[in-house]
Amino acid sequence: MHNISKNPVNQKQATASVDSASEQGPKERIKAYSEGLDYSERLKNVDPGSVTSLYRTMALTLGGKSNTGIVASSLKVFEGYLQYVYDILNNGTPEQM
Amino acid sequence: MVGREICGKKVELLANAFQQNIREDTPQEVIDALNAWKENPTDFYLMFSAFLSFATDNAKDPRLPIINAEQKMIGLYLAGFTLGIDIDVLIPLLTSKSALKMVQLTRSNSFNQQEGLFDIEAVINYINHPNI
Repeated sequence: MHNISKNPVNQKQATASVDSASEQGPKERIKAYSEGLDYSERLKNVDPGSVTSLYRTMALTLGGKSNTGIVASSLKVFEGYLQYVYDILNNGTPEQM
Repeated sequence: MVGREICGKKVELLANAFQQNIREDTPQEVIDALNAWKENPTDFYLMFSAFLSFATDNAKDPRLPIINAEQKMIGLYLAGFTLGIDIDVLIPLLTSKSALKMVQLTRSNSFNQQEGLFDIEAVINYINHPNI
């Protein structure tokens, strides 16, 4: 994979975001789901005259602050788990295997 | 986790960033996987990339709370992606009435004097053992 991304022929694809490269990628599929759900209709349609609109939009906005940390931490944990597994696979004793 | 069959599909790990003996040639199965990534909807890093993008763009485009992936529930999404479960299975499951009821149990309500449970794991323990 490193050799493929270092190759100048693939330089454009190597530096482009995988999300923007496809119309059928995970991001577009999640967007399609979020627009079609019954549950999402209540959250998306915000009436400016409603007294609860402010609190609903606040809840929607504040959700992303903690989500960023949670996703990044879980990615870090998964990388650490993979490193542990492959460290054992590369240098492990038979008992650890 | 890797090499098992989950939801009818076999989960494989092709590229290993921590491999010590890096091969000069690229294995054909890696080339095939890179060419066919559009048809591979359960790729772990693609799903994490999408979720990280949505989380950082949440202020202008709140998509994650709309699919019930707020801070209480997003761990179940990430655990599902780690196991290789497709979003066609995950999103209808985690936005179902049962999942919304589980999130509701974690919320406290001072008007009804209702104490919310701490997290989803506490809700699952409460459902399994309601008397404890």
